[in-house]
Amino acid sequence: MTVILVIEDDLPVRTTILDVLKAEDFDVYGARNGVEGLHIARERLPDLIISDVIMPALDGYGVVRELRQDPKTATIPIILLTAKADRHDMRQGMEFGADDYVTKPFTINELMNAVGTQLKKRTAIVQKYETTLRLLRKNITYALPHELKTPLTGILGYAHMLLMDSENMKPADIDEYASWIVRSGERLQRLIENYLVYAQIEIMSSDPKQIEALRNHIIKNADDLVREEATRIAEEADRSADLHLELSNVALQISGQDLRKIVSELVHNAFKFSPAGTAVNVNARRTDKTFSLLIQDHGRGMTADQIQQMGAYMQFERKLYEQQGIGLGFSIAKSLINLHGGQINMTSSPGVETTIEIIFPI
Amino acid sequence: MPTILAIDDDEIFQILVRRIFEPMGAEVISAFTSDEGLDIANRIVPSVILLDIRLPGKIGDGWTLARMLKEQENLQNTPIVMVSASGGMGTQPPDAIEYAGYFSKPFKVDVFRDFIMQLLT
Repeated sequence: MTVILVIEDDLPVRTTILDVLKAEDFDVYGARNGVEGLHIARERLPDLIISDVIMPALDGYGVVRELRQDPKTATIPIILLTAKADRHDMRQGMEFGADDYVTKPFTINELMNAVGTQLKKRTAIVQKYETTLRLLRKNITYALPHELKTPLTGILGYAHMLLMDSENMKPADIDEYASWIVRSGERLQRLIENYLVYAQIEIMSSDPKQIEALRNHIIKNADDLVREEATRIAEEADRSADLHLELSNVALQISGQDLRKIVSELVHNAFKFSPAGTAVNVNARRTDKTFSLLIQDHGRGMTADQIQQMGAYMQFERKLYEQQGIGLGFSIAKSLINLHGGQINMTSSPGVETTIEIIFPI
Repeated sequence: MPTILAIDDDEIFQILVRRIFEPMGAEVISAFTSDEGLDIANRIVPSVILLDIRLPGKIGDGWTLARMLKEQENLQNTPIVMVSASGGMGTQPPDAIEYAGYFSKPFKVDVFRDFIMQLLT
């Protein structure tokens, strides 16, 4: 049953509201002032709170402020009842974190409309969180173990081979097996790092202060960093000759570490999904207000459908892992770009080419 | 010469299978998608099929492919060994499917090698 808390010092008004809500089959609690309201809110965790603004002990703004600071009550929708049709007052309430206000005197219809809207909004948010959580749970259960065990198979497999037969092996074979162990280990390392970075980004995205701090970095000669990182990835892929760079000097509002990660993941994908001998182009374009970086490969490409699936949270989806395996790296790059106020677009012709365009404001 | 068809999208695993079985006198053929796997299986009729469960390809995953392979008349006597990194829940076949063995990645190479070699003799 939906629980609604009504905080109102005026007894007739409180009783009327409680009666109306009860008649609509809501489970209701009444509080005589802000202090009592806070106490009940923390104890009962209602689905919605209706609170008067001017009250003794603790006023409505105080109630909102206190509730928003406590993670347990931070997301409960709050409707303020204000006697003043003063814009300034209304705005103040909203700034403290109220979700809506109803001006006294109000009709039952007005109040019930506001209640209905807030409850609907809350249901939608809860559903969205639940879907995300379900997907995440599924991925942690299924996708993550698979992703971790695949490189581990290479490490343990080749190590077993060495142990079983090292006495009779030629040095070249030992070399080869050791290099497969290293390659698999590096793949596992990259994967673990990406999961950690992804988790950090997720935490950061919900904190405006951290996002603001993130945008305080300015890197001069961003082109040097792009060149350095792309060259390193090309070398790692044994395809230095395939890399074509066309960059110009630019300063960007991003930390070197984040820019490096973005370039690293996107260029890594470009090499991973295109055959040796085909060009990977990294070009910069500049307008008065924007800087864009285009990363183009001539590999298997993606269909429009697959590109669309690259949206939020899809990176963990099983289908994407199976077909692309590019999910997490791309997703990290995308989140970092968005956190910095940039944009990322992908266009592709299957079997021909894929171009990723990153646009940063300057 | 016995032939092993390995259907798995992981290149490092494919090379590992080669390194394990080629010295034992078997020929290893690689397929990286379910479609490729079905096509090659029909053409060469391998002695054993190693089949990953999570596979790219239009046909579907390894379980779907296993059922399709078992429906082919010429593959009735070809044992299928499932090899998967998924393990545990979520890797159950959608319906009853006949297969000769199931290995969870990572596996012990000697146990895996001995099991497959036994199927080949």
